[in-house]
Amino acid sequence: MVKLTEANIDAEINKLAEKFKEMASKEPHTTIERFTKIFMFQEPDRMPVFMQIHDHAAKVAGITVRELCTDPKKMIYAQLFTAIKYKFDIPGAFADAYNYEAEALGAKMLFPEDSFPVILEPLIKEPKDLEKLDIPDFTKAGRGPYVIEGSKLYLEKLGEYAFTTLVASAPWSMAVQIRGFNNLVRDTRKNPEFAHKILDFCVDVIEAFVKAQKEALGGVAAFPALADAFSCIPPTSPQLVYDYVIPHTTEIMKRLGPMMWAGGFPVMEIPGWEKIMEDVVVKTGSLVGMVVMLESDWLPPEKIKEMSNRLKKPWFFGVRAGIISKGTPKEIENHVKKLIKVLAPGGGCMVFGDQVPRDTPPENVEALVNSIKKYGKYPISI
Amino acid sequence: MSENTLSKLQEAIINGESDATKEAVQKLLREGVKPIDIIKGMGKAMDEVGKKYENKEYFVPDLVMAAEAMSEGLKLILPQLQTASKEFLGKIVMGVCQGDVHDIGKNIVVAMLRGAGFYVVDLGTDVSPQKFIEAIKKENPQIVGASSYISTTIDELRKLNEEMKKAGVRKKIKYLIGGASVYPKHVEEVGADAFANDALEAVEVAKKLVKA
Repeated sequence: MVKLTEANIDAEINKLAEKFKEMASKEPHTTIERFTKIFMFQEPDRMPVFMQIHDHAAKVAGITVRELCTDPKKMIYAQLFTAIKYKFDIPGAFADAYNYEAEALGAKMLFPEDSFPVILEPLIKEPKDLEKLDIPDFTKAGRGPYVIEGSKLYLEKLGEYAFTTLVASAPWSMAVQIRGFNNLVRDTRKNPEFAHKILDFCVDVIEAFVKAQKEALGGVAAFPALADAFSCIPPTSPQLVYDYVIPHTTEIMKRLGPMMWAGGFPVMEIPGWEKIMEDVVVKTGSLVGMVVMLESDWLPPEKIKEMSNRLKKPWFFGVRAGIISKGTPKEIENHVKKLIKVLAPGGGCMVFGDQVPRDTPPENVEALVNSIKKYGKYPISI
Repeated sequence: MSENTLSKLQEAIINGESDATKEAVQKLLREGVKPIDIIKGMGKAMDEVGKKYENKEYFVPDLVMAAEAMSEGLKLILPQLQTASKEFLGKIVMGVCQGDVHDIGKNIVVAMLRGAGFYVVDLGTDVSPQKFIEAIKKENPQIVGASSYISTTIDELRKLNEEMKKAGVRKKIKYLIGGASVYPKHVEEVGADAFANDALEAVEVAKKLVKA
């Protein structure tokens, strides 16, 4: 493994970018073509292989998670290195998605060497603290420049071979970060007006953050994504999803256009889960539906396929992080095969690696990538 | 005991209402109800909260608010109790391991353990082995509970075990671990005695450990 220095990192990124492009150009379709066809309910050459792989990428590439989260060049290096090692289609264009806004607003942060940054205390301790906060200039504040530089570099190196992402927290998750989970939940019960006021502010901040990224990319098309793990159920409740999460997420999409939103859906089986999944996608206008499961296999992929076809809405179905990290390669292959058999025909749905944990055995990541490529080859013949 | 006030207390906890919980506790104390009986009543409320979570009527925000209400009520009661009273099921020193500041899960576990009748000394988050050891020497607990939310701090659980051994306190206590990044296999890896997957299981495991 190459020891990265200021003197060699640009050359190392260039080498990896060339290797990645060479790898990608050997197949009939590009990543963008694959995604476009899946989104249009058509069949590409094969299902694209997309994974949320961040701290594992740092480990594979021999850098610390702190470096991944603070140095845009090292982040791009690690993502390219990992995409080439495992031969997947889309290197990531960011690291931890949840803290950027709060940090830019002035939150005290801890950057551990080998785990994601954490916010040490909420910015809004008292309701009056909200009045002191102003929308930051993301070209200068916190890690705004890190995100922007990372996206620009990604675009510059990979061009049409991949697509970069405009990333931000969704309003509910950002509100959790600046107010604290307990405080925000308490606000929703005791002072709903204030809770909505916080979320209104979050919408303004997120809008500014995404616009800053768009401007930096000079109008080049990028995939807009809102991270919102805190709004899933059970971290939140169906009532909070309907009263707070959906309305404010809808507002941000009204302002910025449809985005990929990973939030609001149940990650365990609860009564009425189908209605909630449908509502979070339809009411907000999210570009895609998402499924991530905590409990094993409670959610029949047939239901998602039916919903996706009926609503004409693409759906991403996450292979559980537990299987990826703790299963055997054979278990991963069988699981992926089962999902692809139901979800893949006719396009519209794709299977992706939902969070590849840091200590995942490399053979498991290989099994995941190879299984999606093997069974996801169109026409599907399982 | 005023059954009416006790019912109000339990209802307040189940609904996650801190102010109503404090009011009911103060009223019960004024009525001369023994603190330990109030805690037992609160415990039944937390049992109900746990059942509602298992039945998927309640979600994490409901647990958090119930735990907070319970904790607020306990603040009024605990100063009146002799620590390590024989009426408690046992004493537990609990904290989130060094390098980790996630406390939502730990707070729920602490509330559930207290509700079940344990005396819990909550050391908070980012707790160094030294702090654990000081608390063990001071409080003389039967159980030490430590949690890790992120995978990179699991090694801190092992270090805590080593430091407790070096300090000569490990044999006196049972070591219980848990947290989002912790799995049963880590019991052996870090040298703990037991693992709990969630707050409800933590109560059951703690009961077994104090009997062992």
